[in-house]
Amino acid sequence: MKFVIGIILVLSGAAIGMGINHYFPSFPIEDKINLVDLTTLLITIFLAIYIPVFFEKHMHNKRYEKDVIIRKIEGLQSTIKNVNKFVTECVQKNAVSAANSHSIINCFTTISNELDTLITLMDYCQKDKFKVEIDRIKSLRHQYKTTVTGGNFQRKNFKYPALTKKEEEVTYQKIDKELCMLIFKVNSV
Amino acid sequence: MDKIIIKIADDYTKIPGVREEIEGDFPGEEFLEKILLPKFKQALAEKKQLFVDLDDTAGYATSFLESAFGGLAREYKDHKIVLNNIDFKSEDDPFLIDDIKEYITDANNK
Repeated sequence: MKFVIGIILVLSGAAIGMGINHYFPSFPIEDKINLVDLTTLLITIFLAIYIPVFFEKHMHNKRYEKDVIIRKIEGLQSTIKNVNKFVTECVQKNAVSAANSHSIINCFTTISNELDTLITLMDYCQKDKFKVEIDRIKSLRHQYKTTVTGGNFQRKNFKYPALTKKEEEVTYQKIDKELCMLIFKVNSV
Repeated sequence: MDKIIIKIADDYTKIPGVREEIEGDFPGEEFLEKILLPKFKQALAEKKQLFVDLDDTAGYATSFLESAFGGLAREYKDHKIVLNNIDFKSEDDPFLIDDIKEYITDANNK
């Protein structure tokens, strides 16, 4: 279709040129073509085809991939934030209910799956470009899970000690910062 | 290599619990004593691999995993014996196996 439109445009240009030459003879048209003009014409045609057909398509595809990855990172951030909210709620109530502990454990299963999906997408799009960042996030996830669900978690009358809450908050902020940085880095590629 | 299989959801519970028996239901300590350790000993004696299927439960807290699998490494005082003779399946949680291997590796460092 694009090819047909291109041919129609070229033919239209030629027809307009011939029309001008015929109806407005005062416009002189040079019959000779010099090398500089020919090169300029060919480069212009090349750019006119390359930019919309290949370059913009490539840019559009990259943008789409980045948007999907960024959405997944934001989803992961949101799930981790839920854990932080649950823990804060438990500290405020000075108790961890069975419902809270199951929700927290479920969140960590979701976090694992979301992180796994993110790694799969990044491997597909960017190869090993973000290996260092992903390794840091994996390590922080393990640290965060150990802090939140370790110790005497799920024990009857279990409460988060003040130091555990502080450690949880610090680790949460580190993961969040790491994920924000990852969004910036993905966006700038 | 032949395998001895434990499926936690079928052989123990679908709702793994706490660390120690006094703390609540389905603790890691009880799982270690009643199922994991006897099966692991049997696997070593019969030169088989112990295969632990972690799927189809409500999820695992670190306290349960550390107590059960870290406890197994502490029994043998060497994490390599455990890591070389045990294998896992976890499709529900893709990082659960990594977590467990870390608890096994760190068990004797505490």
